[in-house]
Amino acid sequence: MSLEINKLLEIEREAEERIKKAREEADKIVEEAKKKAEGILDAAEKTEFSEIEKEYGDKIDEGRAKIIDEYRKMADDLYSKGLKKIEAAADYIIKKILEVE
Amino acid sequence: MGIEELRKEILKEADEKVNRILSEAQAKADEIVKEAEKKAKYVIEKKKESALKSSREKEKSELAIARIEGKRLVYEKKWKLVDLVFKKVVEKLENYKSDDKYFDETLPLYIFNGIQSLNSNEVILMMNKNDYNIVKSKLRSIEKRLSEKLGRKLKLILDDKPVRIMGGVILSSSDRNVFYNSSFDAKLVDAREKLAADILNMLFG
Repeated sequence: MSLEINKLLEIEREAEERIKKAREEADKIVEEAKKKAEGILDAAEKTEFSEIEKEYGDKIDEGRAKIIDEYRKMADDLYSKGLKKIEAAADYIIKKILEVE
Repeated sequence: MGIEELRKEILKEADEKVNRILSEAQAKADEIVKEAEKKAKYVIEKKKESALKSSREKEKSELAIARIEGKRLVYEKKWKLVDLVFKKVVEKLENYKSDDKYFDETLPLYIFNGIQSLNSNEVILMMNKNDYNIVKSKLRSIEKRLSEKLGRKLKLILDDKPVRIMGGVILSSSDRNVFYNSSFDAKLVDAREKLAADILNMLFG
């Protein structure tokens, strides 16, 4: 009888041991998942959108050059237009200064 | 039930429990990773949105700055022309000073306007050295002409200390308390201030 009880106890211990190992294994699985999750989030935080910055950088350079070019052209046109009227403008001021009108 | 059968039964139950524990753990792990991936996707989307937003804002402000710079280019060119106009005016005034009209019409007119403004019958005239030398010989005749024009006796005193002006005249009351600046220099400054809009309009309108 006592031999049978001992046998049974041994079997129970073996069963408990299997369950204990399974729990340890389960903890390990969850821990690894947490580490993986942490890695995924870190990577997400470190994500950079350099292609967007580059795309807009190029767009800005292009737009800027276009605007400056347009204004420069406008300035040059105005300058050559105004250059022809310098004499008349000077005469107008002279008249005002000499108080002839 | 024999001991061997009992053993099999106990270990079978234990293995079932083991499988349950492991599959539950795996499910929890999968959930953790899935959740992290969801969160990461959100973070990336937000970061992308933010990168786009700041890039658009940068584009907007950089282009606005470019437009301001462009306007400055136009503005500078316009004022360069205005400077040229005044350079021309100075040139013309310099030439005009050797014209008889300058002494016979312009200076008497300036003096006449100055006298009216000072409201005085006795005024001091200050001129540059060259004009002083010429006006000195014409002073009495100018005085006579202006007295007749104003209908009252005037006394013009020519200050023998020349002033450093381009041309024109500075008048003062005899006590030197009130001045009337009718020098070319003052008139040029005045014209630049008051006629700028007219000039810009003439040049570019």
